[in-house]
Amino acid sequence: MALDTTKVPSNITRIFTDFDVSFTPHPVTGDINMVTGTNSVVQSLMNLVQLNSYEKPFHPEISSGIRSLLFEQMDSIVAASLKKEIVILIENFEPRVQIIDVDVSPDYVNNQFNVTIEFYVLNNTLPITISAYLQRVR
Amino acid sequence: MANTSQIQLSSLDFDSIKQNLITYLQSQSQFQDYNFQGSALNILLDVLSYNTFYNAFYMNMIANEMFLDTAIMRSSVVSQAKALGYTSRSAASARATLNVTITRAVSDSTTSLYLPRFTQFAAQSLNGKSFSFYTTDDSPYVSNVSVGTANTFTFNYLNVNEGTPVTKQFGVNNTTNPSQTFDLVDSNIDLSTLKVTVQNSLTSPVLTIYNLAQDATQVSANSNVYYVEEGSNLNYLIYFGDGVLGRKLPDQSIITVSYLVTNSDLANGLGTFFLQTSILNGSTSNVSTSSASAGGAQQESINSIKFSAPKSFIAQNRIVTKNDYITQINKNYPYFDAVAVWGGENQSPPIFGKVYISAKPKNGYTVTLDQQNYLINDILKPLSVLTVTASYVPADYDFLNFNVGFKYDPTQTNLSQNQLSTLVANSIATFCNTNLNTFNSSFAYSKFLGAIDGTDPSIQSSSATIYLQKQFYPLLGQTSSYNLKFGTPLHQGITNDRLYSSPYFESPDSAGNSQQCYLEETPFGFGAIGSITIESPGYNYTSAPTIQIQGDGLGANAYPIIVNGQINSVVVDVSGNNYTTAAITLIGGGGTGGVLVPVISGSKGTIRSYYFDTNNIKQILNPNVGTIDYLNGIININNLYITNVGGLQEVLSIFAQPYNSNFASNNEIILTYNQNDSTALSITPSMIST
Repeated sequence: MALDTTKVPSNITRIFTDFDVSFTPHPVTGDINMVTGTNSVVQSLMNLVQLNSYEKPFHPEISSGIRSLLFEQMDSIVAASLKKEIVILIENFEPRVQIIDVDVSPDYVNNQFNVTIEFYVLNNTLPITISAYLQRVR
Repeated sequence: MANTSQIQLSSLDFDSIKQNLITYLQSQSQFQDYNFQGSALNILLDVLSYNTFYNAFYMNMIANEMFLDTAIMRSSVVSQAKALGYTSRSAASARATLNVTITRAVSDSTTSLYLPRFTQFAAQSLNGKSFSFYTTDDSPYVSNVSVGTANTFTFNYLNVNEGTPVTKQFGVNNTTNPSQTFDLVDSNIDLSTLKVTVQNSLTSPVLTIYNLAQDATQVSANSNVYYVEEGSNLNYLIYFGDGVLGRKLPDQSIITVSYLVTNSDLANGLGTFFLQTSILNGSTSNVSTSSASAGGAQQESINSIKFSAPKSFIAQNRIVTKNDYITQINKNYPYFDAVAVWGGENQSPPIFGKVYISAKPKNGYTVTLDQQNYLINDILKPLSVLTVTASYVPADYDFLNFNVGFKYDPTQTNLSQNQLSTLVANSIATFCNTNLNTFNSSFAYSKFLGAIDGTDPSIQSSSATIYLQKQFYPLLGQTSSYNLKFGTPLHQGITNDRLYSSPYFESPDSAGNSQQCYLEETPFGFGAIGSITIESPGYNYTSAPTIQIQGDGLGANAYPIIVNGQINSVVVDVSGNNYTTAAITLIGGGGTGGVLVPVISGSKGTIRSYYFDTNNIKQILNPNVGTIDYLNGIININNLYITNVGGLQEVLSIFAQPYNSNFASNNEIILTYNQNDSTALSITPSMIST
């Protein structure tokens, strides 16, 4: 699937700039490090996916139910639910991303879900893939 | 376009604050991701906006709580009221007046007895809940009275208050509690029952009574006073003087406080009491109720404090104006639906130096003698101006009785006649509750019918006959006088619209047989000159001519008013009586042509009693029981002898129609409608003819 350029909003023509959530200072200037372009979008995407309800003040709708799903029985049904949650969240709250595919697969051995999100950033024709694993920590 | 280089600071809600920050960030180019919910910058904005919002709310709340008008928390309202010298009213315990007789055992030789503070009495409410009542002071000693072999002690008019007695002791320690403030902890304390005594040390035999400081100007360095204020949790704090305004308590003093914690209004209306505390070994007791429990009320509400505190401040704890009286009564005795106050100068004839007070209790019609004395002597007298004496006038009720008829269209409703009648009865009750039941109220006939018509769209028209009912308690077995003031002109009844009484009363006829009697009116045959009409005003009058009234009656007198040589109007200053015919001659005045015609009417009548004999023929028992003054709405009964009021009732009622269909009450008269009286309302529904 190629990037559908007709869906690129007119305001997404600039360079994306955000600061680095790790808050590491620039080694020379001492200023906070910046992330730009697709790195900024990827950082935003990872933040978004990890949001819980009510972590955004007054906006509980900006969240995914991922954390609660991790406490469900590990099977393909929960994996499908996770995929659905991630897709809905990204489509609603990250307008810079066009999803190509989201793959969630249970890894019974390590007791975790492996998540792969493949997407375009809307002002870039190269597809991006990020992988992560979701595991309950307690 | 909005100026993005300046941040907007006026918003108070989270979303607006965040949007203002975003708008501001648009003016810079370094960070661009402020608009995307997942970006780190956006999350930082969340934190910043939330912090701003939190502070804005907090500041707004503090500002609100700083003013009496906007404060919501009770502690803030109480604190603001404190600055105005106002202490919120505590819960009030229900109070009853009892007559207690204690009969000592035969072997007992006690000759004088008193009932100590917190002597316990028990009473039970209709729903089975038990309440305890206690004396709040030691009673005076009474001596024994021998009745045959029995010896009794009688305590008349003993006041008892509902509640649970609590006694606490506090030790004064000027190191750990230098402000000498002590928390009574309990809520629902009736502060009027609070007694404070101080012992200078544990070993000191002297107990000194401390009183509540009412007025700071009367407190000196050696005054034994305490102060009281509301705490943060519906509790009360007491504290003592600092050695300048009230005596400062020495270190190691022991304070003893005792008071009642009350169930407030739950214990109102109880009428049967039993002595619970054992007074003398082997004694028996009998308790009769002089006045049932009343006056219990909840602790003052926040809204009431907000309302009363500024008014109390304006009055400066003095009673001068009419509103001062009303404020003080409502503050100290929150038991009345309505309070009326008027000066003696408005009486007829004027009585100077007097203030009259009348009140309607919340759940009844009568204010007991005990309550009246409390009102006048305990609440008003200490604060009123020296030369003005207050006196209580019992509220006088005009009970309204309605005969209502309405026509309805059955095609416009699916309600039955009975259901419609019930709805109409509810409308009438609502109308009366809204417009009547208080002093200086007025009854508007058209609005009354409007309320009936508005009950249901199917009601097409309505009509009503209104009777004013006056109740009185006749003294049995003696000739007595009664003065009934309706406060509004009365209609002269001739046929079936006459004044009547109910129920029957028994009175002996000339042969000494007891008869079932009733009262009715007989107008003075329209025998007075009610008014004079001007048939021709005449001309050239230079002074007022004398009006000579000639007829078969006596005593009428009138004079004309001349304007521009003509008779402009005529004033009848004495109506006279017994006229059946009359003519007017004008004498003097210099002019000619004036023609005046007297209009004979009646303004007075008599009240007579009658009964039906064994043949069911109406017999007049006493043709002159009293008089009726139609214009002023006053019935004077001065020759009524009653041995019994029918059906074991005590109340005799007189029903009369008002002269005008719109009428009002003044002074002590209250127009009221008793929903609990089934005879007060009769409704006749009918369908419209199609």
